[in-house]
Amino acid sequence: MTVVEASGVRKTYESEGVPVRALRGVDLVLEDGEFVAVMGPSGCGKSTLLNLIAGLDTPSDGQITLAGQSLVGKDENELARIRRAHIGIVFQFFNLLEGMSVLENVTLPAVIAGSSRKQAESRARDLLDLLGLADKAKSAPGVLSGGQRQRLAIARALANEPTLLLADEPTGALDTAGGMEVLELFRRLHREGQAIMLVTHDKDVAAAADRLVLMRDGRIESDGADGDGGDAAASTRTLAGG
Amino acid sequence: MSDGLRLLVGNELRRRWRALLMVALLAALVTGAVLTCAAGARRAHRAPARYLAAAAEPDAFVLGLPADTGAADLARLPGVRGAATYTLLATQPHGVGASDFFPLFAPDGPGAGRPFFTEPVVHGRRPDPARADEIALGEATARRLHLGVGDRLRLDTWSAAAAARLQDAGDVAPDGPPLSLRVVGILRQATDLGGREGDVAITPLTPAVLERHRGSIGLLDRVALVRLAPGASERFAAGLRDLAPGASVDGSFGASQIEAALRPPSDVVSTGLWALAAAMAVSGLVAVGLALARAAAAAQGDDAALRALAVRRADRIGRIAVPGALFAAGGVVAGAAASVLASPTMPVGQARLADPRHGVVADPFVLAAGAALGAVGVAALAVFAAVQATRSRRPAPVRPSALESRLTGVPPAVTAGLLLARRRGGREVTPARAAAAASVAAVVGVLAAVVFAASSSQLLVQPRLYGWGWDAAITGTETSDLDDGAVDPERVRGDADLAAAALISEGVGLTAGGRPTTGLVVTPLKGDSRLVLLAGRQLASADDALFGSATLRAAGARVGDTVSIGLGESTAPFHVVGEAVFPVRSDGGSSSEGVALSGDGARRLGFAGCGPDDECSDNVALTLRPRASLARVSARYADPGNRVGVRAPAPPAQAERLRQVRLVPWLLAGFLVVVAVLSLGHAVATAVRRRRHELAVLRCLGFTARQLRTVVSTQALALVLGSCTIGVLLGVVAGRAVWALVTGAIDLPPVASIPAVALLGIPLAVLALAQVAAVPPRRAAARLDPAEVLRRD
Repeated sequence: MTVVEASGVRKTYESEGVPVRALRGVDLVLEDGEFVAVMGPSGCGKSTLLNLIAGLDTPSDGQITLAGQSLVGKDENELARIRRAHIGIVFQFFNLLEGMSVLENVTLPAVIAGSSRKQAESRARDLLDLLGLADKAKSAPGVLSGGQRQRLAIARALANEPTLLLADEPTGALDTAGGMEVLELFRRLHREGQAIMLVTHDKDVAAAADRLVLMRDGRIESDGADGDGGDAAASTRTLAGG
Repeated sequence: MSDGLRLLVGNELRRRWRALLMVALLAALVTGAVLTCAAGARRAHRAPARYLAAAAEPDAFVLGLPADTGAADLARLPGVRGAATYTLLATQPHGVGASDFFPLFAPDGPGAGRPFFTEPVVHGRRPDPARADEIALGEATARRLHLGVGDRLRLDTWSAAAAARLQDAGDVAPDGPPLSLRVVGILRQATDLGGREGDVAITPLTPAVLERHRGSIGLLDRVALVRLAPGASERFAAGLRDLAPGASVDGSFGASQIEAALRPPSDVVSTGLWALAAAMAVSGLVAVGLALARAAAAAQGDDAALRALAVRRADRIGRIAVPGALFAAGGVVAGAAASVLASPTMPVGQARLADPRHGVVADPFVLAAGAALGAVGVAALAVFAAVQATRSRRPAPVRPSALESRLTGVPPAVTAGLLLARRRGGREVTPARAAAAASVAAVVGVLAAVVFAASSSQLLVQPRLYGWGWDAAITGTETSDLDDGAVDPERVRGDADLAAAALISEGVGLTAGGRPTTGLVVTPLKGDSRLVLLAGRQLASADDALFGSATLRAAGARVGDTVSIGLGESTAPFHVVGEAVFPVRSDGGSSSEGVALSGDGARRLGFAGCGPDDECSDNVALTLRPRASLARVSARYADPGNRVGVRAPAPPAQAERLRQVRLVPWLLAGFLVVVAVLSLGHAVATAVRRRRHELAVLRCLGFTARQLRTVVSTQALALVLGSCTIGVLLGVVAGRAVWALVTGAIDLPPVASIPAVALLGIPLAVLALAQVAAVPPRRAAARLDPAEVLRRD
């Protein structure tokens, strides 16, 4: 099943009065269960692509379909509902709700999506257990380590059993051990069938994926799915000259 | 200012001018309101003197002036600074009874010095002295005659012969030529200002009226108006005795008496406005301080980076303080200017009537002192806020709230709203405090105003609150003292409309515990006439006494004690059975001073009733049966021929004076509401701005625009909900305390009225206002672009 299909996607926005062409015609297909890393230098448009797929932004041109539903022409509320059902997002800087407990951070998305509080909490406890945070359920996010905070963010992203897990530089704010911990978690989730799209500029992080998409100047330069990028590990080894 | 600081300040001004504009607006509002009230208080205090200066009221009247004595003769007497002579014409407005004194005077010769009767013109103009068909009336006179500018005043007149008989008999039909004068102006005379019951309005005629009708209309009397040097009244009286032995001096309508009558109500207004200005200054400074603290907290984000760049703390403080101080001081100056524009609204109450000029007035002292103090105050607050914002403190970890955890079944948007409303702890200066403080202040202010207004209204309509435990009293029409035998006790006892009646002897000279006090002796004629009690029980035996609260305090006694009470040489022990509110008349008296005894008790001291030469006075208190008509009872006992009247309770003058300041608490409440709405709006807007990251995360988690609006609404409600509860409790306490202070000052019992509807309605109104204040932030939250916010942050 196709999870994401983007075709001819362009995005231009204004920054201080100057038009910035962030995406210049992107075509990308992501199948169910795939683990894709989108890699490229800063400003290449990878985060913009992630925001468009998440329905946080709308393309200037082109088509994006998520789980069979077109995101183009939808208003903000419809995009929010689609996002609830199909998307989980993990940010570089966690973006946890600091005033809520660990358990509540994970419970909230499911409650927003319409689950009962009891069901949502039950699912949240399972996820915290899965991610090794069960003993921190009542703690504040502020007392967790960086790795733990990102694991909590991943748990929150998984709360609604999303069709696609989006991760924007998920290890960018972590030390090496924390980063490894998170990548290992992504690999585990992928093995269990979770579709993941990871955005990074770090080749070591990208190597965790089974498909690598390279971007430059708002375009996809190579895509492992087309056979020109190979698998992510091989591609990143090539890029590194290894 | 160093170049570095200038650069930092310039940057801050560019980035935060919108937020600082709100601070300036708040400072302008506070300054404008405070200075308007302060200037109004000074104008209210000066209003009587200003009126007298404008109206040129005389210091004394000379009655029975000989025909050959002119103003120039009087002006030569010692201490005289001006004089004018007038003749009283035998004329009366048509339809007004001959017994109703309605003096119409006309100048009968050239005056000396500055003219008299230059009262402010309220409508129209002054009459032309050369016109014999023009007149200006005082406001009360015009109302009484139902006349306005352009109407004609018809006057009956008496011939010289009839006028002579009129002075002797008092009931002579007018036989002179009728006059018709056109009303060309309405004046504000001293009698229009209230404060002196029974004063007679003098209506001056033009000299031309006297000239034209001197032969056809009788002349009743000649009077002179004199303006005296301070302290010259004795010398003038002595000189007048030599000049005109038959003339007499009457200073009871003079300028000093008018000022003495106008002074208390004007001072009530002045004091009320000063109190209002002080309350607004304090609450306003708190609001501005909190707004500056919010602005400082918003600028706090870059402080760590500047510290890392080794920017001196003084410059870091200056970076935050200078823009805040500049905008706030600008607001102060703008507010001072606005107070001049608002000056026509001041003063209020009777002082406004007395103030001869209602236009735009600048009070240089208030403007200079207010602007200087305000600018210094806000600058100090800005520096304080900046010092707080640049202190290095370790952020306290945020602890999850138990509240949200327990809100099972509550929509997530509501939970999130509660979360965002809560303080985040640590060094963050949160807007929640400002919003909560402003909401508490608004609820307290409005509730206190409601309690004040309801209590003062209650005081005016409930005679029990000024000691009238009965419905009416039979009194003498002239001295309030009934002549002996004026009322037949048997007739009262047999009156089916009366449930109770008692002979009340007031002003009996007693001592209580050795201290002089006034006694009130109640001798029942029929039924049970009850005094108003604050504590204890009614008089039941000859040993019982009721004390006023002040007298009880002065005697060092309490209800249940035995106190020695004396009348002349006679003393006897009495049992204090209660604390009473003594009846206060419209012309004054004390509700808390005195001792009440039963007739039998007073007889123990040898009291045998009030004689003609005694200082005490008798009247009969009447308590009507249900559905009995007071008018019918009044008609039954009123006998003007025998100087007997029936008087219904009338609020005492001190209660009436409260009307002068009835606007004051409402103005304060309104001010606090405006401050609360601004603070709340600013707080919620600031919270939305500073929590935009969290709102963006919520958007990423799937919140719709509507849910984000609910988040902000909940946040606004949460900010004021607790404040409303605290505000209601404090408001009731404050309202009662204020009323106790006011009634203590005017010597009336502190019975406060707390309308139940206000206890519920005010918090609901505040919650509604919170929603109104949250409308712009709600829109901002709904329009938030999560991708943009997360990209920037």
